[in-house]
Amino acid sequence: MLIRILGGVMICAACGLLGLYMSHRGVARARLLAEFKQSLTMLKSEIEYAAYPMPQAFSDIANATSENLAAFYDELSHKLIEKEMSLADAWEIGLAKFQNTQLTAEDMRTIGNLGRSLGNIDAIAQIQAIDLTIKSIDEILARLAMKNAKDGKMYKQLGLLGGALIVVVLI
Amino acid sequence: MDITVVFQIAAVGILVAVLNQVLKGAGRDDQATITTLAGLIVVLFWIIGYISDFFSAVQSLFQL
Repeated sequence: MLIRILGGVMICAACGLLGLYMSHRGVARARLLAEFKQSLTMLKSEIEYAAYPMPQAFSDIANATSENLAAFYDELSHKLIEKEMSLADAWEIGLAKFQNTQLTAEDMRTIGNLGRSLGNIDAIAQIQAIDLTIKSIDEILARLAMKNAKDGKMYKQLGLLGGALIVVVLI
Repeated sequence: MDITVVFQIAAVGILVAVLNQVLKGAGRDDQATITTLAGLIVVLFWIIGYISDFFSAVQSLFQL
């Protein structure tokens, strides 16, 4: 009987944690997108005011951002300086750094489109492309905030209730 | 008949009802319906043997 109770508690805890993880996924995606948006604002000011070359700008941003984004911008800087790749190609390869993050295909498309634009245009058009991407990210973030508020609570409750249901069925 | 099955059915009923409310509150009416159906099927599996016994008892009682 003690083993049954212990098993039941473990199933409930596991399902509860799964629910917490699911509710946290949307939050992590929103946080990463917000950080990316902030890094784009930095990139914009590096192009607009400091007029640094792109590899230098990416290197500066890599030093000022969190781990995931730093890896992406470091990769970009490295590919541009050492491999002498085009910005569009380097951006495409750098996107692989986001494969294991919470970003979805929609987010990757938005970020990928910016890379294709940045490589082929002058500074003014680059700033416009960055502004457009920031606007797209803002729209995604607004939608995500509404979704997270609704789904976050639901996943937590579903986790615990689902665990309790499994325990009742198995007893 | 084991009385615990009655309590189990009651517990499943309560949990499925709460799950239904949670899913409907999140605007997922389809999943709420599927959950209710799944609960119904699970309970039917539990009691199908008892229903069969009941019909056999009725048949033998009235010699049908």
